[in-house]
Amino acid sequence: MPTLLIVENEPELLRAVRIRLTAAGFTCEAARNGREALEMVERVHPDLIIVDLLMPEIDGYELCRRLRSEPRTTSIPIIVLSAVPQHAIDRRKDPLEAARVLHKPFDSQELVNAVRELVGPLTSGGRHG
Amino acid sequence: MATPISVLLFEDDEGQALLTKEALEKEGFLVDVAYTGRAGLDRLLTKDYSAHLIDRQLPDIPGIEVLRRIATIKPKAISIIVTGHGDEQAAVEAMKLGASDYVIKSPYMGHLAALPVVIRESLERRQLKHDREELQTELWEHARLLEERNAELRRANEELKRVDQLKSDLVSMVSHELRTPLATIKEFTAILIDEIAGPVTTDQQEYLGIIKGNIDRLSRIIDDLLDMAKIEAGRVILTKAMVHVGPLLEQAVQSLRPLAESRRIALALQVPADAPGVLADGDKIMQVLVNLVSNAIKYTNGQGRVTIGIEEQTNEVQFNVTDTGVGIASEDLPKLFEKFQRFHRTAENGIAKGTGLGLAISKRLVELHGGRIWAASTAGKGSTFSFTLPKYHVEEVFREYIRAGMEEAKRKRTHLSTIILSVDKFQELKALYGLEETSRLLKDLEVVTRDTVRRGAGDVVVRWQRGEMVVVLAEVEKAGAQAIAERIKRIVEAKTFHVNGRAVVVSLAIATVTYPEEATSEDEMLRMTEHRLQGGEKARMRVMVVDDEPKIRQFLKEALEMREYEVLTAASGPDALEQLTHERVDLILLDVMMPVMNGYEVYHLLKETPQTAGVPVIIITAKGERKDRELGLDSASYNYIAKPFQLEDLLAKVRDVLQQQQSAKL
Repeated sequence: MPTLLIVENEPELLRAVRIRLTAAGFTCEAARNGREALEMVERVHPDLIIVDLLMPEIDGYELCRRLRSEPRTTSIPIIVLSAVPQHAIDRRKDPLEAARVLHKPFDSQELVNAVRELVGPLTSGGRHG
Repeated sequence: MATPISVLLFEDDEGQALLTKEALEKEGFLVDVAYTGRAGLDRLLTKDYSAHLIDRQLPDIPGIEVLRRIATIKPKAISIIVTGHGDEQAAVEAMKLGASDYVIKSPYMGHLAALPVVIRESLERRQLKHDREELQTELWEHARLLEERNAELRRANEELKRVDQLKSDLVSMVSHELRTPLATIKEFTAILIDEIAGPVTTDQQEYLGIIKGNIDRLSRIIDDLLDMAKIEAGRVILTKAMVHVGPLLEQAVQSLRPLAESRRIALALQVPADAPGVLADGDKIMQVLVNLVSNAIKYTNGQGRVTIGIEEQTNEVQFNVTDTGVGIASEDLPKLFEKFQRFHRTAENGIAKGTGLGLAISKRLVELHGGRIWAASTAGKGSTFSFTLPKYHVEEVFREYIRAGMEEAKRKRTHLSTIILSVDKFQELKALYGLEETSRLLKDLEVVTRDTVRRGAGDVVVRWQRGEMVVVLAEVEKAGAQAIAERIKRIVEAKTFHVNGRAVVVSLAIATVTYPEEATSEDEMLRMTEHRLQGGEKARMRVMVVDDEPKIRQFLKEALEMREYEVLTAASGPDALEQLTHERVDLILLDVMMPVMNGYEVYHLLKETPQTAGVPVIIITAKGERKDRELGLDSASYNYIAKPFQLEDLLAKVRDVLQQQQSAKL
């Protein structure tokens, strides 16, 4: 089964996303901020990372940047889940290197579809199987 | 009459005092005499004088000292020192101490005649100085006030900026703080609805559906609030481009068709095939259209109809969204576009409710484009929401096409060509059939042209009221553009058009401009295309008539102007050459027999000057006076006409030469 890493500092939202994606057939791991996420990535080797933007310690922008600059993590697809409006994201000097940006409150089906598209069909039982 | 000038004279010599007093009083001065310094100074305690005349040598106090004291107690008065011969040095000294002037006594009292003038001038100087000082003070005061006001403004401005920042921080903070809990609620609701957490009864499904509907509404309100805050903070920047009205409306209708179908509302689009373009921010106009159309669908019940149409007016394009719904009470119409106004138009259950901001946002977006928005309604019969967008002049549209085309061409490192087509004798056609009929002819021509160039997106035809069209061809090089231009010409000229029931055959003049071969920048592209456009029209042709005979100049000028040429005249060769350093002409009519510099000399100079070397010249000679061969002129390179000529012959020659020049440019 593909493994997803969900990085979200709002524990209840984290829980909801986790329930939804587990029900959709994914193995879910969770981190509450960017620093934790970077540690987890080494351990769980996720197939995809879902990232909130505004988080304490290392925020979503920084996390994406670090994941992209590290050869071992550079090809892991990222979905950003954000409460920050698109125009505010566009205004930043450094582009957000995410495969997809979903805005809160997002549509669950849209999220599941995006994950499925990015990790591929659920037949082979994950990339690390 | 002006008040007499009062003078106090310090003079110990009685005779001189008397003479001076008399001389001054004759000139209208009022004079008091003090025979000693002390007496004079005492008098100053009780009386003010405009001027003081002080003899340098007084018995008690030296004149210089009197001067010094007056300067101290009456700083604004003038004092003039009177000295004896050979005492100039002392006089200069006195000036340094504050005397306004000095007068040197002459033995025969000749200086008395000068005194009134000296006093008056001194007073005038004093007044001037005083005025200057006052002005200076006033200026300083102004500067100080200005500086104070500036400081206030700066403070107010900073405060405004701070408040503005606070407001936008607040809005984005609130929106962020609301979105995250909303996302959590929405997620758990969806988990329940999708029965991930276990089975849900039918009733529970319905209630969860209501929750979901309200979550969606709340998130739309947040979006609208953010939009509104952005608009009000002046932070919405329109990204204008040419927007084709047809496809835009099509797209709006497509996106709302599911909503209309779910409500069984018929959605009709009435857009003419030749709908104009507008220069607008497509996304923003889309937002307005979606808002108006979705409102219309929502407030129309069962079996209704929503029609979207446009009306092209002289200066604007009007969009109309008409429904067959419940209508709006007339007293509510003016308040419709205010924030958070919702009226007695209740949508049926299960229909997504509005945010109360949609129309207010639409209004502001339309106004940002320079348009207007309004509603008209008949209760029970339905409403029409209309808005306008300013239509742009063809010139502006044309510029916009070129700008966008050039941007694309530069980015892709490819070509951009324009084809300029102009209908021969368009002015005559217009005069013959009227504006309306000829406009129709142009429209037909446009259709033919469009059909001929059709090769995908990026090719555009602009209709010009002067009988001209420009085709902008993306990624087409020179040879390609010329081939297409010739094809258009061939097809158009082989066709028979109908104007006012009569068959008309049209002939076209064609020209092309290509980037980067010819035009190297957007500016050049515009200039060259525009120039070639104008070149196609006779009315814009400029002809210079060079003749020393005023009657002939006038005759030719009138004859040419009647045929819509623009005419410049020069009375001599040097006059012509001078004018041509700053005037551009398309043709020069040059008389040979002129004093100062004859026509042949002028011709040579014209050909030697780069700006005029390419301008065709028609030389006017007397019969049997042709000397071109003798002068080494190649007769093929210039044109001549011999006097006396028939006006028709000259005009035909002018037309021929200009046409040759035109086709040589192609």
